[in-house]
Amino acid sequence: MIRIRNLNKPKTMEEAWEIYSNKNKAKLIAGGAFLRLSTDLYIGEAVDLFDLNLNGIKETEDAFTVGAMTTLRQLETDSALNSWFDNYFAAALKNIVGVQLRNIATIGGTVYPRYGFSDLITALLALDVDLQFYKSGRISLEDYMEKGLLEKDILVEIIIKKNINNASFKMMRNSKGDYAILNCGVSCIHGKYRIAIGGRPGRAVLATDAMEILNAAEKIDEDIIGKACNAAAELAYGTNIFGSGQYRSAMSKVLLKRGIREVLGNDN
Amino acid sequence: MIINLNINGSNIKVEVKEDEYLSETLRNNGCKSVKRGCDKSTCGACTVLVDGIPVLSCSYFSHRAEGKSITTLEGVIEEAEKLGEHIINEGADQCGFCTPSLALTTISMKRELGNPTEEDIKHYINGNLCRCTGYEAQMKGIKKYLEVE
Ligand SMILES: Cc1cc2nc3c(=O)[nH]c(=O)nc-3n(C[C@H](O)[C@H](O)[C@H](O)COP(=O)(O)OP(=O)(O)OC[C@H]3O[C@@H](n4cnc5c(N)ncnc54)[C@H](O)[C@@H]3O)c2cc1C
Ligand code: FES
Ligand code: FES
Repeated sequence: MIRIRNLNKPKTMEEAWEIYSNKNKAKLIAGGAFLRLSTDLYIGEAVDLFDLNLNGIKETEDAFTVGAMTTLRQLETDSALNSWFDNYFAAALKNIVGVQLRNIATIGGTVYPRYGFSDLITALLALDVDLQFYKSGRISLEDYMEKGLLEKDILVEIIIKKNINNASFKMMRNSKGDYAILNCGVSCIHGKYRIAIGGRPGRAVLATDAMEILNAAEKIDEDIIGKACNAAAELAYGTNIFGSGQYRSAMSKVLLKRGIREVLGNDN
Repeated sequence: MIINLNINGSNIKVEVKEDEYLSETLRNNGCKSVKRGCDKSTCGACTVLVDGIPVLSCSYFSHRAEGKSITTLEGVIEEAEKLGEHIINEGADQCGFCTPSLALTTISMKRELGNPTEEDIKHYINGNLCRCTGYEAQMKGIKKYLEVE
């Protein structure tokens, strides 16, 4: 249950920052869907990001710039984004609960907290993505996932660069709408492979050893794919109610193999 | 705080708390088709349309709905009755708790997708959980409704 003492609905980023940075027990509210799961959350000053005009997907020559308040459903159905990335986002998002939740949950409310179970973060990490924060400026998603920020901040937009040849998203879950047991994004950026694995159940990470094997190979055949998959299985995998670490490690090989084959197939 | 809502075509002013969710506001204002199932964004029983878009009203803050049009099952009775007939004929209505939200989601799907495939339907109603029917009969009822209507 959430209890809010004071609700602020700022109209500008300056106003939002003023309240968020100065007030004790201040909390940003995006879609509010994940906050809803809190069993007992007291928010002294709620800062609603709804009126800040952070909603929408803009396409330029080099990138798609996605406002932090853009919903998962907008990402899933945006025709320009999904046409450029060959339905990669639709595939990554379509199993998250239901249409009704995806019409509420936002990209900002997903990326900022670096949720380990997230499908969207894994999908983004496999691409070339930067984050624009209000105070900390522009940081790559890769750095943010690894180090976080030193001070609290507001995520303003997510910049998804249009430099990939192909991308593939794979996941496994016990049933549609459940959390993923494991998820995996593979892309090929200017001929270089990039692999992200999430739902480990820790935060999504790049499978750097597997990437190196693929990127060093003159030709990618089944033997190289097998070696890359074995390397990815060596990442740290943990146990929770959805699966054991051992199971996740074994499944990582299967998902990654499918992902690489799909990216290769699209290349041909 | 006071907010302005249009609920099923009627403009009203409603007093809501800062931390109130739309499901509570709507039920307090007579829309009992809006069910409180899990109250945690999981079951879909609280589905309503906000400016035509299906959302979980248990997880949508009431103050966010300021100036918006809300549709609950009470606002689409005619369409819902047609769908309901097919649902009943297929034996897809047991305790009935999930039926209002299923009907509203189906109507929203028809408006958004026009002529959905079986895969589209499964995908769109995925967020509407039913503890009784096992979904097969619901699927048949929805398909018949879409074919006929
Ligand atoms: C029942 C349920 C099941 C889910 N299952 C999945 C799943 O299987 N896969 C998946 O990928 N996701 C899943 N999600 C997560 C969902 O996709 C969103 O990530 C989540 O709801 C957060 O988005 P929100 O807009 O609701 O954020 P909120 O709940 O509003 O905020 C979440 C946190 O982020 C902070 N925050 C929000 N926006 C910003 C910003 N711009 N800058 C800085 N901080 C910010 C908030 O202060 C808060 O701490 C699930 C969510 C729910 C409720
Ligand atoms: S009551 Fe809203 S999703 Fe269950
Ligand atoms: S008929 Fe009982 S929950 Fe669906």
